[in-house]
Amino acid sequence: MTTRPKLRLGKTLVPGLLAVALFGLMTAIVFNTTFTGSLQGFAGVSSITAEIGYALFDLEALQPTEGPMTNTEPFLVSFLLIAIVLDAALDAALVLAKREDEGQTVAALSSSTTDADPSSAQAGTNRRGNLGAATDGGESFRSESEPSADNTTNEPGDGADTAGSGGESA
Amino acid sequence: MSVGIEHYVLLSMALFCIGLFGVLTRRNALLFLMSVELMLNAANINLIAFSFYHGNLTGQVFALFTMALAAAEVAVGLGIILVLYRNFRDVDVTVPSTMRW
Repeated sequence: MTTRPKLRLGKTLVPGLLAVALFGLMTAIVFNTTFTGSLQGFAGVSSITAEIGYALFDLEALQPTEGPMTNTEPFLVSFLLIAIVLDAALDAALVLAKREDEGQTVAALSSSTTDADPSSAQAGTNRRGNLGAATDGGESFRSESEPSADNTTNEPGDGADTAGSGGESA
Repeated sequence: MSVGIEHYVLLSMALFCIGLFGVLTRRNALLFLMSVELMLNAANINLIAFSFYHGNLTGQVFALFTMALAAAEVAVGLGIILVLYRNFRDVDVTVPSTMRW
């Protein structure tokens, strides 16, 4: 069953007025602020992407010596730190996705068929096969044996019960 | 009429307030995460706009780092939402009220 998101109106939107009021306040602040000068832009820079790459990897030697882009700060250490943070986030996501089934830890990146040893897999198949046979045999056993039990037993209570069940099955 | 720096700032503020509106009014954890991402992207717009305003590329490089941090945050956030759904059969942020494991 799928449920579609519904727009909930009413009292739940009241805290949102705080956000609207904040937007009004910040808009008033912006309109009362005089930004001196105009947008400088990146005039005279041949490739902004190349300049970003030079700044990311501390490649000042490759950076052109003329032009406005020579004062970009180096970011190599930040780049490596962000790489470590992304790795930690990946590990954290895997730890959070791990779950426990009947006392055994089931990791997110494992398949149950390769991890289980062959003996337990065989036992599981046997158990499932026995269960299926018992279910089928139970059905057939009940349907075939109840009329015969009705014939062999002459007690009034049992006879009434089996007659009732036979009536249901019929 | 040219687009000035104040227009970028207004766009960023609108985006931030839309995100704040979502955080304050929504109860679904996924919508919560989306709203936080909106607020983070508002900061990105500010960084890039003022980088263009000053003619310095530091803001653009910093915005790249912010995007990487946003990716890390989404990875952890989705993991938390997964655990939330597994434990409570719901992603309503008001249901788990204690830090009990």
